[in-house]
Amino acid sequence: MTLFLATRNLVLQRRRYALIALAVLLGFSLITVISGAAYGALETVKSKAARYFAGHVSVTGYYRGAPSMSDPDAVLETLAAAKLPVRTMARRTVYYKTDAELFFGGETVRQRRLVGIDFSAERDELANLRFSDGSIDAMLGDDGRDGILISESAANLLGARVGDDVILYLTTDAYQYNTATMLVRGVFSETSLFGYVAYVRNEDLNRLLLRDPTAASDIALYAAPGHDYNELAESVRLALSSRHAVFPTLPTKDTLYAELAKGNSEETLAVFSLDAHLAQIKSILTAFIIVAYFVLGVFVLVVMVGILNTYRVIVYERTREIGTMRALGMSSGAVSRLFVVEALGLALLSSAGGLVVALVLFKLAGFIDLSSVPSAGLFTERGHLRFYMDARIMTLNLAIMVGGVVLAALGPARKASLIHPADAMRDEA
Amino acid sequence: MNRYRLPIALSIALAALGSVQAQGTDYSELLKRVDATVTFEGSDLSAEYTIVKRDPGGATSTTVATMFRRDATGQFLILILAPAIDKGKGYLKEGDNLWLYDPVDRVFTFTSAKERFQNSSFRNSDFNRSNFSKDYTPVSGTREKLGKFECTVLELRATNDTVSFPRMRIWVTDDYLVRKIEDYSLSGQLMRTSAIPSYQKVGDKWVAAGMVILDHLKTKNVGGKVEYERTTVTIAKPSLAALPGSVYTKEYLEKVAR
Repeated sequence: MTLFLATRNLVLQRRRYALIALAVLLGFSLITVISGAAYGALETVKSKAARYFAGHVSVTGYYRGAPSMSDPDAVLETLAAAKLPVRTMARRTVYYKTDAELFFGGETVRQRRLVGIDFSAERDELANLRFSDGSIDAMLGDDGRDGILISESAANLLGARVGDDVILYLTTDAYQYNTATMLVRGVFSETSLFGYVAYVRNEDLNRLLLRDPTAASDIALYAAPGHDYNELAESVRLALSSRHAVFPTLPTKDTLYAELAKGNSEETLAVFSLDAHLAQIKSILTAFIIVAYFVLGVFVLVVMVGILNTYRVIVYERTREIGTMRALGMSSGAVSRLFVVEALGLALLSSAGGLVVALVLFKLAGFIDLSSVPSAGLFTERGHLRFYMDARIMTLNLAIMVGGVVLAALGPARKASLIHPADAMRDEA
Repeated sequence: MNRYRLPIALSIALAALGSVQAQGTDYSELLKRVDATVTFEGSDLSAEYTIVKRDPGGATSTTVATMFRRDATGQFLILILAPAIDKGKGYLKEGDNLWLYDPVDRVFTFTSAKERFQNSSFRNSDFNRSNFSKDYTPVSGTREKLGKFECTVLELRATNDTVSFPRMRIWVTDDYLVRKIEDYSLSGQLMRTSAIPSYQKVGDKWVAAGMVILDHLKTKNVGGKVEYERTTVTIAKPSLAALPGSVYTKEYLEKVAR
């Protein structure tokens, strides 16, 4: 009965409610756009970081403080047997020293990270890498032998293009100089944070480091859609602990350094989730999201004051109607409920409208190319903003908006419930 | 006839082996002589190094440094005097450790002997005493004329992995002075060529007076001609004056850097 009356009132008094509906619609679309952009930026950073580090969850071996994985096959075997929610699992050889350099045309560029990749296994995961020249496919199979993918920043400094031979310089595990002539097969765009990285086939890097062709320093795992990276990391850790020595859960890199400082006398595996790698960046984005929600909280407060005043007017204008309902036997609680349900219905309908508006804004904002904006590259995918929204974020946004509206309507609803039928009729007379 | 074949073949093989061994021993001896000619076991050596780096087809930069070396203990201390921005910076080698001192932050950090000195083609390890006989083994040798010098050319392989270059070719004159060095990476890539045209006598030993180093990794085609990064090293004011042991300490480096 209350629901029927509330719906009827909303329809009949739609003009009076229009202003509140508009405010809620705008408020919810704003919340959705800002939170969607902030979480989208976080997801973009994560996908870039997954390429830079080794997947969503990485397994790295350490022996006496230095990266070392003596039997990557055994690690892969254990992980495969655990039937984890993983879409890609691949071995990587990461050159952890910082002395790798590229030489071309009299210029030198030091590489922050040199990564040996099994391109056939990780091709789909690296598909989002934006190439200004060449492609990832050129690294597949034997055709990719002695090929290298370099970043745009490195290519610009060297003056190198696809098809040029660059000299890659590094030192072996025994710190001896080694060099190789590598053919540039691709130049990719990457932000400076994840820039100055070069990708080669892992067998080529192993050869240069005088390691076995199938050697690996890391195992990269990419989570199946919808699975939490941290939960996957813990599952990986538990699965590996049955057959290997494994460090305890490592929430940040600092915890790994603390473990390494203890000195591990046997090879021990470190399992890292992307969140652990990105602890600092994530805290920046979390701070941004908190600030965004604070601003939105202020906005919701302003909307609530507006709703409160509008409802006061509505209650005043509907005094006779309330008196009639009370005279017909409606309890004061039912009157209060009626106004709250009206507010709830209004908030839900307006939020649905706000969601549609937000989706349109998402689409439009997606067309804007932000490539020329300095530092925007870190948070954009191929120069465009990415929006991310899931049920958890949507529920939070809806709870803030609907909760605000209902809270604002509670006071006037209570006031309406206290109206005595005789007083209402007398006032009208 | 057949019964003589085996002993003859064995005799020839043994003679050949003996010859190679003898040759190998000679070359090892030659390396020891080379080291002895430029090593100062009985005294300290100090000198001023002027290192001029010229980028291929481009700018030049000059670094002036004072070096104090004690070969008996394998220590050295380098103090940079110029350019002004790097003045006071220093390197201290104690045993296998090489420290870099930054006077701005007043901190010592570990560095590698294999690192480039002030971003030039000269390596930190080039300040070390000559140790060819310990670090390398000769794998072949030939005679060759290098300009006006008659030289023995030795192909060397590193005996350990602490040295900068795993492979090397050196041109040694009959007075046991190295006149040219080619440094190779593990893959056999020529990384650096050093020429040492002149030496200066200090006591009864020799110190290079000048060196020219071409970096084969840093090349550029300028006007159709390949130019290498060229580092010219001039070593002046060599002295064998005894130095107190306190010179080879962090405290000394901190004090003189002020």
